[in-house]
Amino acid sequence: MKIWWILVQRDLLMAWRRSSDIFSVVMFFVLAVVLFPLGVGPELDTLRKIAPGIIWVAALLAAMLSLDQLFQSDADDGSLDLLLLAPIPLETIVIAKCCAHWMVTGLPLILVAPILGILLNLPLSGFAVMIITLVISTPTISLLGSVGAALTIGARRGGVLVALLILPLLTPILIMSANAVDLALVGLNYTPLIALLGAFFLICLVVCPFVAAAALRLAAE
Amino acid sequence: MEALNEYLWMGGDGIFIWSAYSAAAILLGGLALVMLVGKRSVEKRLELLGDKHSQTRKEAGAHDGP
Amino acid sequence: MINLHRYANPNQFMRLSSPLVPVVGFLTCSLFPIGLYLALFVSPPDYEQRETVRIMYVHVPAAWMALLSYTLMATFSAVALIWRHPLANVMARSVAPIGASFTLICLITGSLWGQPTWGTWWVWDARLTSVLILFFLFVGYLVLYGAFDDMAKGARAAGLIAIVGFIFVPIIKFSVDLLDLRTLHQGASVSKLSSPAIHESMMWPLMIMAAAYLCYLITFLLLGVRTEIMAARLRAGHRMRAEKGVQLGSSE
Repeated sequence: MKIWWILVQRDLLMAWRRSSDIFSVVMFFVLAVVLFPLGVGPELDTLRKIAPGIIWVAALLAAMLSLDQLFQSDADDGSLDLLLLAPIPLETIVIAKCCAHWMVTGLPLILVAPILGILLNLPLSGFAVMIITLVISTPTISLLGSVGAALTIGARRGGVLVALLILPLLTPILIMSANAVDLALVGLNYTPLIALLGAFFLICLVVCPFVAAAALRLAAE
Repeated sequence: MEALNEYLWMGGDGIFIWSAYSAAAILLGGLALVMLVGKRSVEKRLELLGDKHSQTRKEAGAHDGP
Repeated sequence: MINLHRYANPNQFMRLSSPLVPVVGFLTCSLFPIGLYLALFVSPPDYEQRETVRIMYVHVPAAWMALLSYTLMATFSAVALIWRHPLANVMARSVAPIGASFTLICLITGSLWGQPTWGTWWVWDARLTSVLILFFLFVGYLVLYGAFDDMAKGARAAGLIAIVGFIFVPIIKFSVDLLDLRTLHQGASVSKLSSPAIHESMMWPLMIMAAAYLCYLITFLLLGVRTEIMAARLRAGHRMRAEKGVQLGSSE
């Protein structure tokens, strides 16, 4: 557990030293959302209707941008080989990596999302659900993303490839989250969808570390 | 001729039906063609390699035996 | 208990598959004309959908075979991962482009069927959307397979993503089903095709077309694996020749 926490701290420190990366991911998120009213047109009714979907799509794309660096830098400077030799299971290391990744990308996105909700004329009744879905599902993005990042170590065009591999698998999050916010807006019961998002997170928590660890061992061979 | 036109027209939906069938045919046929051409080219290069290989073997026979 | 490793040997595979390819190939070539004849001339037009029901005979088998291809791809990948079966990855790789073509056929013919029956080219309903995602899964697999300089590495990475994708397919299918819920509660529902028990006169053409698609799948799966084995021999041959060239150069 102690080693685990040291790993998280190490990743956080490294992210802090390259804080411009985090900043650009958040700015991409904001910019992507801001582009929609310009493209779709500024009618408030239309914007309100598509707000949850836009925020979620932008969040997914922004998260994709940060994923390719999850393991690649470790593989480049050789620390991945050391991590493979560490006295704790590789699966735990993957979870530590995901945890740190979530803190530096998922968390800022959650903090910025309310402002974007205001920009898109999202009614107040949708805010709470929006935040809840983000809180539950951004960790899922980090977990699934770790699989994509681990599989594409050493691949050509790694960054785009992660998005191509992982986005289809993330569609359940997008559908259920946007659906939950929609249901909340019309005053219907959205808790089943929140529960499903939670279940999806748990499935990913069980499956993804193993696959990512297998991919890391493969990359080190 | 009239009957053929009538048949191809299919009560107004002919265009959809025939495009669906031709899309399937083009995709399946195209893939088949690509795979057959690929197989042929590998076979040809393998034969070429085999010929050259036996040639070099003959030339080099004195040096490194069988 | 079949000894899997007996079939693992590429030479063994080449020997076993060489008489098989013409047989399945012949079956494919003969089943397609029969199926097409039944589908286009013999089967009756539907009462509700008139002649457009004929699109079903190219559309539905494509959907079945797309699912079968993905299952095969994931199974081969799992076999390759667990038993390190040397041919399994090659087989998975050979299924992928065929499966991707089937999904594409399914999407295109579905769209062409949607226009006259639903009045629109594309509906974001559960079935269409899940097939579209299946197509992306195939493409992702193929791109990952080819993204490494070391081919073996690409094969194993792609194998992993095929297995992960297979685990997630039911979840994706389930969540995509929620799309229907959404269109319903927004009141913009598209009347979906009712699916009554299919009549015998339509069953036969459908089954024969499905058999033809299946034979096509098997034929080109075998053919693809054979090509891949020969390509591997070609590479090995080039390498040997290069080494021999160096030897000759140094001995002179």
